[in-house]
Amino acid sequence: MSERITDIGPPHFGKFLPPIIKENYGKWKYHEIPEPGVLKHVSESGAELYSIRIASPRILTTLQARDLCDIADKYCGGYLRFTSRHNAEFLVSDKAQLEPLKAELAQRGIPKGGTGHSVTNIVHTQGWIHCHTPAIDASGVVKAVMDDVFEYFGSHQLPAQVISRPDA
Amino acid sequence: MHKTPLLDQLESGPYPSFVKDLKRLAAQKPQVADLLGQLERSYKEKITHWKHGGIVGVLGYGSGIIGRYSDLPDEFPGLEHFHTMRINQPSGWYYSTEALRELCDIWDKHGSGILNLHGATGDIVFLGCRTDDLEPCFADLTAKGWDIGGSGSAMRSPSCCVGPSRCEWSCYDTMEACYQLTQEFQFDLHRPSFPYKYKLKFSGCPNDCVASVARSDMSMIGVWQDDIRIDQAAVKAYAGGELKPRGGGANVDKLDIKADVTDLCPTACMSWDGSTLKIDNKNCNHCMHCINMMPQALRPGTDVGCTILLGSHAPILEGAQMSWVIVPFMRMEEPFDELKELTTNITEWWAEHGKNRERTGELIMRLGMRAFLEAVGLPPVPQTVRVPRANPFFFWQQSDFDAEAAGKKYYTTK
Repeated sequence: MSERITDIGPPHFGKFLPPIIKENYGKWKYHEIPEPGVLKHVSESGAELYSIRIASPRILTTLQARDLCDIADKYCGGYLRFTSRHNAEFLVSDKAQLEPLKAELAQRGIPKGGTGHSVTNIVHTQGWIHCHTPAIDASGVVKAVMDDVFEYFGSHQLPAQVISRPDA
Repeated sequence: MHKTPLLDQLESGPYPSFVKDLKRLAAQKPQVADLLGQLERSYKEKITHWKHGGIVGVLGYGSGIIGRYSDLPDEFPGLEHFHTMRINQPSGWYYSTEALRELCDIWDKHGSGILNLHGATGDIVFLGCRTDDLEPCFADLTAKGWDIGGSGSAMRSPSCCVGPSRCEWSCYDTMEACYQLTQEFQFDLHRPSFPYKYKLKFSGCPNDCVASVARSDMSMIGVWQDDIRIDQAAVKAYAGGELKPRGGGANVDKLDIKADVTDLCPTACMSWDGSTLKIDNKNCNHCMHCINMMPQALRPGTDVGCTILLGSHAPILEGAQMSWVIVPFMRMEEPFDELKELTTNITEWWAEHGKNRERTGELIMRLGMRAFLEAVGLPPVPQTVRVPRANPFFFWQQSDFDAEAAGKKYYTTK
């Protein structure tokens, strides 16, 4: 048992940051949202980082997680991140990759959005898929509601952002 | 495969479907087919079919694994044991594809292959592990540098916004603070010894992108003490329509600075005369609205740190609460000793006085703010008033303002 490893905590995030973020850590100057689902961050150094935010049902299989990895390898130098609203973000440092990435996401049926004055992903609990106390389901309700308000996920038509999250 | 006509409907529609994804995996993993079958039963009968299950875990930990058993194990044998494992996420939920694939490999080997990316507290969630597979899964995780997160009456895995890694507004290094506090409290994370859960969340600015004020017992929200930085030429560019409101993220193409910004300022501390934007910074309450609307014209100041708020929690036991300010300003510099010490003082006081399942915020409601402040050694300061600027029992007279201008102090701190 002497070799058993415990209490090491999570790996340091520094291992997982793409080079452009390492180089511009703490130096970001401003951002723009050139279109729904696309963020552009500009550094004091002039560097530009594009993030494409995509919808996720939060429940992902390892098959889907590996698909996201394949996309990140192809367009983002092998890095990606997830948001507190369970969306995923592809971090693009080479602007030339932006259009091909958008085309591949569209072809795979992965919607982009959740930025600015949109309805972003609905944070939710396990519901009937894995919890012992729920009176109603969660994931199925979220899927049905997001289908219904889908036009607002990928647009900036609303007076402000809409964020729903029933948890604590 | 079980027949799932109700779930099948959730494969339609434009938003990504978890049913479609799970069906793909069900072809390889029989327990996933059983999961869909049981979920269909729940949809039909409108009741959950999970039991909370006893004590399961990995050796030496009391936390991070949540026992889960189906109440229909004969019908769905793959769900006989279907425990949750929480894996502590890296700060900001950044991954290399190499690391994410590594986690997928471990989980495909030892469990169902179903993930949550991520749980609401922040952890990577593995859904569906048999009891016998917990320890080997844990060994493979730690061998690759990963560890289990918190559950039950323990310190929970802290989480943070992207902070300075990809945001210009962050007033301190949320990512590093989150990492260091997580490391500091490993013992309390893995060995539940508190009255109930204790959550820490780190937000770099008052936009509070991780909703720490509502979702964590203790939130560290970045703030500045000096003035909002203004680029007057850029303000004019917004007024003229050359720059788009909210960087292009708003529903209008041109900002009306009076209607869309200064008139909406909650403390009415701004004015716009058509050529100059003025901010009375000492009356600014850091709501971020003007900065959000004009990200190329306005930025937080440079004298930065965080405000610490305490007490929010979900409805059980006393009804939901939001956090309130306990420390108006703290510098946030490595190694964050002051924050570590304050966290320890608070959890020790709470562990000593809290009833079972009573959150910190509820204990303060029961014993009073005075008892809390004395116990943890914090001075009472006006910023801790829960609803400032709204006291209906104090009527300000001109003589009060004159006296204050002449040097009268209405409060003192230690």
